[in-house]
Amino acid sequence: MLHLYHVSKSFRDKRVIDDLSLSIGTGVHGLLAPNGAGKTTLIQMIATLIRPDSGDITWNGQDIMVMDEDYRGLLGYLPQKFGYYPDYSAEDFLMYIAALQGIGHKRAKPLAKHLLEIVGLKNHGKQKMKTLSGGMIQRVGLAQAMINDPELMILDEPTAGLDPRERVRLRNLVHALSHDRIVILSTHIVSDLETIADHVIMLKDGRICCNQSPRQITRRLEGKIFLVPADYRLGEGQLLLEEELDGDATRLRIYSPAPPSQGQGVPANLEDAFLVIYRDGE
Amino acid sequence: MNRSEPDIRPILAALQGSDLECDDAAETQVGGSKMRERSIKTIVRKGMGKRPGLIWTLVAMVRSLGLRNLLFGLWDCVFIGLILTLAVWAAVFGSFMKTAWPSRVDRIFGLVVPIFVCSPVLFLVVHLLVVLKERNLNTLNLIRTCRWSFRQIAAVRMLLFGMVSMMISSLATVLLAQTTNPGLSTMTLLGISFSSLFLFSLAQIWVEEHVRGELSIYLVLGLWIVLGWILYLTRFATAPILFFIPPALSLATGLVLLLIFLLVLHERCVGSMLPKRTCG
Repeated sequence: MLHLYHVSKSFRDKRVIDDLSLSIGTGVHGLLAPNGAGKTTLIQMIATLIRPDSGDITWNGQDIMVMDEDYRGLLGYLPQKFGYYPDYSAEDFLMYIAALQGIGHKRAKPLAKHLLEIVGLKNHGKQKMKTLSGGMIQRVGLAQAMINDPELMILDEPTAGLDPRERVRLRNLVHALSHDRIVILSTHIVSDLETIADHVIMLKDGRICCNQSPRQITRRLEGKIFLVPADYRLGEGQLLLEEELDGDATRLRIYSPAPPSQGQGVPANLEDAFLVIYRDGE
Repeated sequence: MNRSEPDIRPILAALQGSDLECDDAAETQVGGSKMRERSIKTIVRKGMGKRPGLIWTLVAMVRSLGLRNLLFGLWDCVFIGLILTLAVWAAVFGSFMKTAWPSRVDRIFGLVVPIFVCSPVLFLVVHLLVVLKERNLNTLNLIRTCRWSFRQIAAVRMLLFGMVSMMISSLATVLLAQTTNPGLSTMTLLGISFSSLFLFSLAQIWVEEHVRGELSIYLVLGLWIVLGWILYLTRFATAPILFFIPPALSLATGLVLLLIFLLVLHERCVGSMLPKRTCG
């Protein structure tokens, strides 16, 4: 179990994480916030890359900085900018990360092959990484994060820059690999979390403004999301979420605390919640 | 369309789920006092585990990672560094032999200054290329989260570069001293070479730990060029000092600096497990 107690972090005079407390158990935890909201800072603190200015982060009651290599040994990390060596093969790269994780050569070789098979790169293991597509490289990134069978896996924007097909493939892989471990998946792409996250944690002004399952979040908005005609004038408390094409006609998807004079109620989704929460960040 | 600011407070309040409130409540009881006290007691009882020193780390790392993985993806940097070092020493030798030196002091300093400036060249080139490559490839963050501590890896790499540099600059210095007969003993020149190499390495480590900024890694390189230039400009004042220093003392100075270099690397391996807090 990972606990964060009153964690704060500032860069120059800007407080990026502000007195944040959080408990994270097994399952996929989506960290959802717009760019620049502090996701990567929070992720980097959990990954021991930066230290909080104040507060503590503990793993099963022990400070992660004191645990040092014992903590890093149970950690799998895919950074936002996944760095690799372009002239080396995916298999060589996995072997290298395995060695850095203290896994012996004999055990590492079949492990690397097995992981490449899981991420669908069985036939590309010997290829130089510079010849692989962006999606394939991200899958190698996921495989390296899995090489030590981590209890805590941190994925920072793993689907950024991928085409929709690769994004779905990577999302499914994360879901398949998430059993019996904590997965923290940071993203600003709402659809990444809708189907695979057990919990969605939203950050606002360096604090947690929401930590619930996608279902609980969308349930809060039930009866408050409507499709209205394009010429509808928004009233007090209402919020335009999206313009939708319905055949030839354009309709507006709005949030309204009370049913509008005209319009049809529709089920809420996570994107609606995201837009409602971050409306004032425009 | 009326796009007035909607009142989202009710929905925000609803979305600010009960989970967080539960965490806060639990934390007041658990994280705030009891768990913290228990953690402190455990740490005090067990003490902080002592980390292994440089030699153990070197042996364990070469055994576990192997030389190939210690410099994984960086062999091109090593190759370029070796080629460049050989070229630099060849140029020093060639230009010294070609030049008609006007005086004995000029001749001596025509060798002392290049030895001072060029002795750290292999360490400098390989170290800079490795740092720049890992920076460009964005591999540092990933390596820092692996079980092997990056500080230990960096210390062992520096030890390796330092020792190879020492070997090459020794060979070059002995060769130059034997073939050119510059008027200074080989031991004195070796002392200058070692002193320069390990002072440079220590300065580089200090700068990397204490000076921030993109260009800070070039700071010592600039300083060394300036120092070499000053040494040449003050050659007539410095020459008598060099002549009167016993060769053994010169060599001993170089070896003491080697020892300090090893101690600093040892400290990097054993040193604080906790990264420095930036503030607070």
